[in-house]
Amino acid sequence: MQVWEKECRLHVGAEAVVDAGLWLGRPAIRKERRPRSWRHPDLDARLTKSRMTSEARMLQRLTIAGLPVPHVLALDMGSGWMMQERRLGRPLIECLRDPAVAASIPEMLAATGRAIRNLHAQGAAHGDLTTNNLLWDEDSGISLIDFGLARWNTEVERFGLDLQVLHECLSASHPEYADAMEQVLSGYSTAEAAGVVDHAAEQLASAAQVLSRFEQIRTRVRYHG
Amino acid sequence: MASTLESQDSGIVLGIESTAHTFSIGWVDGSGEPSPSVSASVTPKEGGIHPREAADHHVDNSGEIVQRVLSSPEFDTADISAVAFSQGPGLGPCLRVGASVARALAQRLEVPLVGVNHCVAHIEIGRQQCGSNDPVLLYVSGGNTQVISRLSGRYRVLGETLDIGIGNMLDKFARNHDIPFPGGPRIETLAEQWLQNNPGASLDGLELPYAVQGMDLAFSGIMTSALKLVDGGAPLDAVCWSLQEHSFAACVEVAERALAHTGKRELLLGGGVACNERLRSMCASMASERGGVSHVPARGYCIDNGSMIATLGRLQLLHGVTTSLSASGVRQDLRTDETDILWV
Ligand SMILES: Nc1ncnc2c1ncn2[C@@H]1O[C@H](COP(=O)(O)OP(=O)(O)O)[C@@H](O)[C@H]1O
Ligand SMILES: [Mg+2]
Repeated sequence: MQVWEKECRLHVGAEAVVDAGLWLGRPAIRKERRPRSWRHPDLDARLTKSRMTSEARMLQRLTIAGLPVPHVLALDMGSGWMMQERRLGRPLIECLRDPAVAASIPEMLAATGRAIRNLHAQGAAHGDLTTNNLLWDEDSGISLIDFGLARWNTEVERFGLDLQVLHECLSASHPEYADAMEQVLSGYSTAEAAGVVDHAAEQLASAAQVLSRFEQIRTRVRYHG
Repeated sequence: MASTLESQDSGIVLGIESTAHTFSIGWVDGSGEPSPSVSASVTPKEGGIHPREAADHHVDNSGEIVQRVLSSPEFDTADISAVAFSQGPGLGPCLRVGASVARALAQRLEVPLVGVNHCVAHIEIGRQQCGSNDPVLLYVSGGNTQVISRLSGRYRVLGETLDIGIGNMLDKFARNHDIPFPGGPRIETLAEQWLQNNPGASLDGLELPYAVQGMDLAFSGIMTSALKLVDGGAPLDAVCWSLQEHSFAACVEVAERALAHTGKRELLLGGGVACNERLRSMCASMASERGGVSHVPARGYCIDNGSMIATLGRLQLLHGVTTSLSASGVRQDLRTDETDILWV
């Protein structure tokens, strides 16, 4: 029996090579960490290990909490690959450029904001919220993927930075949607605060606190000779 | 750069750079070929660059530099067709020195004034020098650390430092160990020395934080930890080496993320830290592993220089984008994506 049947290469990212295929007959993606030869091997090994472990742990806990993230199907730490459930949809970066889905954009952006808030409400910060790492499907909605830089953290700064990364990405890559970030933020502030986990419940920053930190970061990131 | 407008004879364009510690004037000929700039740089004292002291330095040196450039045997001042200057971003007092020299020259020569964006000028001189068409720029200088690329007709900042520039981080670390400004080159030498004496050196015990957040970076944590390593007894050259390995890897990773994100194949380096050989070789292997290339202009065109201001000024001039006297005020926070890129 073939355990893994590769169908096609999805992506050669900065860090991983991602293939789509079937894992034990189920639609899956295989993410293999690439050694970066330009980085010192000690540093490379440290980063690869910590990012893969943290992505797997993070996905497991977020799946249990009911967030729209891929299940982890299998892991091989030694060789550095992970098998994940294949989520439906296409990266936001493509959707935002596709006239065929233009009508869904307001809902897409609002749903993005709600998904980010729900993530933060778990006490988790994503760390790499670009439009490549958000998938949109007309029926099932938003999925969050790529948790290699994610952290369990309840500092309002980390949450504000998530919004800053997305903001920078939206305004650089999708300048034609000038108010895209505003729509994400309004989704963020209207998310149902359901399913907050115990460890985070007490110190967790409110949506309003995160939004005001984001505004501070937005003005802080400027030239400082 | 093949459009007919850009290949027209523009006449000589002067460029004046004065955003931070360097005052520099350079020029390009009618075909856009730059000549080396005439420059003077201030050495920051304890506590980093003081905008007003730097501005005083620029004033003190501007007269001689203007004279040297205008008496150059290589062109006739009658052939000067425009005076370009860095309008921003940068330190207000420094910017104002360059702007007022530019206004005076433009009025005297009776030619248009062209205010340009300093960061965009780093890209344009790099494109011109390296024959690079549509790169991702890794801009690593004292005050700036950014990844920039052209998307929808403008250069957009895809990622940047959330605290201090990488050059300032290196200089501050150096100053704490009595290494004179600029600290970068000395740190590079010490790092090489460590590696020479310890071939195949390990980073064990020399680990530093690695702050990458999406395509953004941060450096003050790396610096604090590096200072602690030295205080804890680690050899200075070992820490210099580790500091480079960690902070450059973070820059290269962010550059690679930008290449992956935009689907582009060319990397271009700019800014003073781009003179570092270790950073260059990391960039070269990153790009070639992705099937792309990494370009670095010659040192004189990486550091702040007037020639790059002239290069961008010429392009704007040919596309009719000049600056009236009333609009020639400096813009400390001028954004990279405010410049319309009409020439690619
Ligand atoms: N679980 C998944 N389901 C469907 N597509 C995925 C999944 N994970 C990744 N992809 C696709 O592969 C691309 C890269 O994966 P990602 O996990 O973001 O790796 P990288 O660290 O290289 O960015 C994504 O942008 C997406 O298109
Ligand atoms: Mg990704």
